[in-house]
Amino acid sequence: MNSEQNIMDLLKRKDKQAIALLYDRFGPSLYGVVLRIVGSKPLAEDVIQDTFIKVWKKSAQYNPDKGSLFTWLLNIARNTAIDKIRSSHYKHQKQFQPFEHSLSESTTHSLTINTDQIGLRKVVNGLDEKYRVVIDLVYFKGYTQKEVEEELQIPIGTVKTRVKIGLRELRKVFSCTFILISLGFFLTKMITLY
Amino acid sequence: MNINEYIKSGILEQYCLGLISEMERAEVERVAARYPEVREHLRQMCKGLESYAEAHAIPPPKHLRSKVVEAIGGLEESEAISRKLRPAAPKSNTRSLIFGVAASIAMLVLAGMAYQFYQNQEKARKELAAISQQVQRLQKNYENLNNSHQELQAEYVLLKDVGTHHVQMQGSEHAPKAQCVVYWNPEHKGAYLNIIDLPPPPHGHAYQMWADVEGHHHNMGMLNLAAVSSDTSFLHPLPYIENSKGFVITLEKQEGSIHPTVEKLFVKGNL
Repeated sequence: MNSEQNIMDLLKRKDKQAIALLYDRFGPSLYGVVLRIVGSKPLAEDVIQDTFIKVWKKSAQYNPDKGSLFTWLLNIARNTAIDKIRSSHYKHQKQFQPFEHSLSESTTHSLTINTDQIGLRKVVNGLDEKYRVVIDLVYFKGYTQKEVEEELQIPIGTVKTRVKIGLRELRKVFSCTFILISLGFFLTKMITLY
Repeated sequence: MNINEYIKSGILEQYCLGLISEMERAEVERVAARYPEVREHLRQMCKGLESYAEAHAIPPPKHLRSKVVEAIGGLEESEAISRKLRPAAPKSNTRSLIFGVAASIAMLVLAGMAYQFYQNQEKARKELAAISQQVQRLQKNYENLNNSHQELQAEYVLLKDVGTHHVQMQGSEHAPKAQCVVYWNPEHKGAYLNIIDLPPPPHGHAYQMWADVEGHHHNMGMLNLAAVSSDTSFLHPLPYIENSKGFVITLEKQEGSIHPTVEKLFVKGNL
């Protein structure tokens, strides 16, 4: 995307403005993901700050051929957040916290649903639960497939299949949603016009 | 490689979720770079995750934005400081030092050149003065030589002339050894006195020469013996007095006399 290209050019020229632009564009998504991972607002703020510092320092390493800017930022934010919770203190906590508990806890107190995102959350919830759990463990907890196997007591082969199908379903759900939302937008515009 | 099998294997989804090793990642990237359909599938899967992340988007607290921007600003400043100040300061120092040294050397060279120039000029000025002095001296010498040459030539012309009479003058009882010669030329009306031997006059006295014209003595002037003896090669020029029959030299007082003191006649000769 052109504006992404502009931001990357600014970033490579070490223009501070790039950080503000990246923050405005991707900040809410990154903050949401990071908060989901670390489970505490102060910690999430630290992680976001560290994330942007890494982005600033690693800007030369970004290669658009290998993936989108957003994916690159998400990976940095996720890795930073996961490293944070895997530091000894959080590791300790995790060992004595059953997964179900931690998940339900995070949903109850931190994850206020972003209503601005036009029902996307609802769609995510519409994703088959067995895939969503696997993807959430990997994506938000940084679990390896082996760890998922242990956590959910399912064979590694099944874990791998669910990762694969889960992502494909995710893509499908979102492309459908995108079409539906576009259609919805189009229709509302038509209605307001006439 | 069967691309469809590769896509179906699920490794691309594992790649997107960061579930595979570094080596496997490199392999996926290599395959993706080669096969557009692999690249496209990978893009779709990552897109799904991006959408999933967007679905979780939460507006961050208001203050976080400025916190992040300030953190980068602080980073940039400290980087700028460490990047600029450390290498730049000594650089500018060395530059100004080099400039200073170069300027000093240039000044020294200029001063040296100026001094050298001044020295040369002074030397040339002195040499010129010496040379012009020498030239003046030579010119004077030349004039002197020319004068004496002309005198000598005049004397020589008169001496070798056949009409010139050689008048021998012999010393009296006052100076028996005294001897002079008068060269007398009535044709050219020229006369010279050659003092061969004459005792120096006593203090306060001088020799005076007289011409004997029909029994009367005519004054021919004082003899400046000092001038004559200092330059013996010269003859003493005498005024030509018509009808002179003989010549006498008397000793008179310093300032000379109107009439000769006959008692003090030292030398005498007749034509």
